[in-house]
Amino acid sequence: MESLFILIPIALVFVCIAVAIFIWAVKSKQYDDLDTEARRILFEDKHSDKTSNVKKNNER
Amino acid sequence: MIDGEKCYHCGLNALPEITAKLDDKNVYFCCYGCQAVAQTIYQKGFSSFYQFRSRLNLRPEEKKDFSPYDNLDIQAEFTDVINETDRTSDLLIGGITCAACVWLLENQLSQVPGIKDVLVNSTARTAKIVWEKQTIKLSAIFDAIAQIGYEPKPNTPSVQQGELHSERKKLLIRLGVAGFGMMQAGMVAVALHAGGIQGMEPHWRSFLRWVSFILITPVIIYAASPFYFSAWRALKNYSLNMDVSVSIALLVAYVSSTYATLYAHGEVYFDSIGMFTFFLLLARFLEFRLRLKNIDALNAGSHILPLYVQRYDEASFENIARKKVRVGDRIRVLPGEVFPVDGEVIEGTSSVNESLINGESTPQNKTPGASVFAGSINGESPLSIRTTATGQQTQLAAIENWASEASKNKPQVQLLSDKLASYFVACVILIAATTYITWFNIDSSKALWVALSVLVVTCPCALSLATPTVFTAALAWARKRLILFKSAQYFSQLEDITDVAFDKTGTLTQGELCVEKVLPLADIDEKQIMLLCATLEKNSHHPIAKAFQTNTDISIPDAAIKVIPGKGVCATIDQDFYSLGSPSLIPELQLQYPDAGQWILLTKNHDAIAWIKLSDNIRAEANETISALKRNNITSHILSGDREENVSRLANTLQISHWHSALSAEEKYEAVKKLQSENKRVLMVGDGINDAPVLKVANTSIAMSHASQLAHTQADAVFLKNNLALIPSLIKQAKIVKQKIRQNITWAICYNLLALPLAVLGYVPPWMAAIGMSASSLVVVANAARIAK
Repeated sequence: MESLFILIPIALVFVCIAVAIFIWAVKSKQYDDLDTEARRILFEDKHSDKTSNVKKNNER
Repeated sequence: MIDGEKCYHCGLNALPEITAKLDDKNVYFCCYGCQAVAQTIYQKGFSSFYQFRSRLNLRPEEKKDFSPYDNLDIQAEFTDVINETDRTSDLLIGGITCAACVWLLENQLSQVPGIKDVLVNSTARTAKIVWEKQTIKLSAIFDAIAQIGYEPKPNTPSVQQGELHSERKKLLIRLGVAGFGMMQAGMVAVALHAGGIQGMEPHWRSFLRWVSFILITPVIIYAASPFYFSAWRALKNYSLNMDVSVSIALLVAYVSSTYATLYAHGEVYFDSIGMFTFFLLLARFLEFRLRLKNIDALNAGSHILPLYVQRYDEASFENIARKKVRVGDRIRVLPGEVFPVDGEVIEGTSSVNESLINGESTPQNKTPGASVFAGSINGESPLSIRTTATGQQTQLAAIENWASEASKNKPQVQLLSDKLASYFVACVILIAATTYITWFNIDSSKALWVALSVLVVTCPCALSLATPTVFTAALAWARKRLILFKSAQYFSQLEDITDVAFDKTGTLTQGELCVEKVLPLADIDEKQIMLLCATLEKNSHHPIAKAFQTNTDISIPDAAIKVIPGKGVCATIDQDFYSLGSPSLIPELQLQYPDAGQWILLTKNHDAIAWIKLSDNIRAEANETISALKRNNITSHILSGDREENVSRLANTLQISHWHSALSAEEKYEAVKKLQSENKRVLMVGDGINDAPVLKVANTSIAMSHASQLAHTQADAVFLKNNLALIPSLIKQAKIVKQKIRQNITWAICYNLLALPLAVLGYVPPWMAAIGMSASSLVVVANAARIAK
């Protein structure tokens, strides 16, 4: 049982990481357009990696 | 071709002669525009687009000249400079119907040399494009988008829109923080509640409480902060709203739980705090998201005034940014374009459609010396004007300012839940105090904890969800019927409307001239007459031309048609000379008009062959709407800027006894104010720039889909598809909405009344409080969801 004194704090650290990732995702506009991204995988991948660059630009 | 074949690109009825061979398959199109687009898409190797798309495309617009966007001043409105060479432009893309469009646009554009990055958003229908100015011109990017059938426009979002989007983001982060906190604290709470029932060692209990404390602290400080701000604002105005009681419940629960954790004495409610905050934020977020979606859809790119104008510089006309135009500049406005400034005509004659500015249904003939107003639309021929007023000095800006002034006079309605909140807060505090005093006399060590549990148990979770959940459902209901409300509050206000005021031109009527009657004077049938008229008016921008828009088989070179400004058109077809327009075109005929109304004459070789009566037709559903309103004891009014004879005729047909004609924007506003001062609650339906102030001041207002951008901004709701018949059902639905809110509030209060005595007696442990709270909230949400259908 004593292991909980270590395991629960570790769980707290994971929660913090999860929240940080969520905030990053919202700020980098990942939640702005949910319709397109959900379907993008169904389309033939023809274009270069240009589109992903914009997302990187937005983070700056 | 099989009859009834649909266009491959847009799904409209196809024409047999417009066809193309795509991948060895013959397909048909409705127009050459669709054909060209489909061919381009196939040529570029994106044929799979047609398999990917889940919805049909829109018919592409006519080809436009985008070269003015290469001007740096004009570009600056929607383009940012990243560095020496790179630019980012924000565009609105008309015609995006599904996610496959995004795929097509991104693929097509990323192939264009000079475009570095593309990001298309199908929800907002926008594109962000990064491009190199040395390699490509902005107009070429516009062309590349137009080539595959979309309609690019500069995106200049309003400041308010930008703020709303960043607010949405903040709200989403808060929701996320509350969600994580709720889930984790909930897990810990299961252990704590189980321990509470079967017993647990004090050091474990204390440890788990500290963990919950750490998890919930960010929720209470960060995620729940909007409630405190709203509560603070209310208190500063000496009023109480729902957020005051929410804040009290949250803070009391948090402080007492923290105290209990510190001194290992009493109960903790951390899980309830997390759940409460998350539920409330979720309800608000969903409502906000739907509202924002509606607002975005309405702002989709139509500008009142063009971004650029043609100014006469020494010898030629040059495109310059509208903001650079100065008083005295000579500018040219082409047929079909919107006047960018107020001015005086110096050259040319044309009929100008001023219906959006002053409600006048017949186009005004403008000759040199006449004044024109920013926001009106030029008719059949180009006009040169001398600028007399720009920007804030125009009539348009005056109306705009008037509208924003009017917003201060809009009747404010307090939400039912906010009204209740003040009683609720007072009651709860009173009961908690009485409980404390009573328990203090029975068992002083328990008094504080019982009083606190009263405050927590009566936490108004269900009560504060009662309204936003119904609102979200109501917004969704209206959206399904193609009415976009900017806020559901306006929707619920429709419930006790006593009067509906309609604008005339464009609202009760179609706003476009239609052929009402054809009176043949020679041996010729009606169909042939219509065909001749359509041919003659084929390329005209005159409002009359719209009445004759049908497909014609006879194709004649455009040059053969001659426009006589202010009078009509004439042309030679198969060696016969035809004319269509005012009888004064052929002076030797000396004819009398057959009847009152707007008649035009068709002649062949200087002989009259037919009279055609044009009128602005009443909308098909108008009559039924007015009588449905009458049945519900709602008075209809007409507030029109048009001339008396036109208005009285319409009022007679529709049997509306309250009507006013020749009203200015200000007089319309005053008319509604007067009704309101007689304790009437007014719904205004309109479309013009001159309706903007009155749309703002009315209790609720709806703008028509084709309305001017200014009317869209000022109205509380917009029809995406004009259908007046929806108004009675909207009012009926608003009554249901109000009823649902009442049901929800009643239920929430019942729950509180049930829980309260138990709490006062000290029988409510934290786990019971948590279950009771979530169960009552779920009932409220489920009840609200029933109206969204």
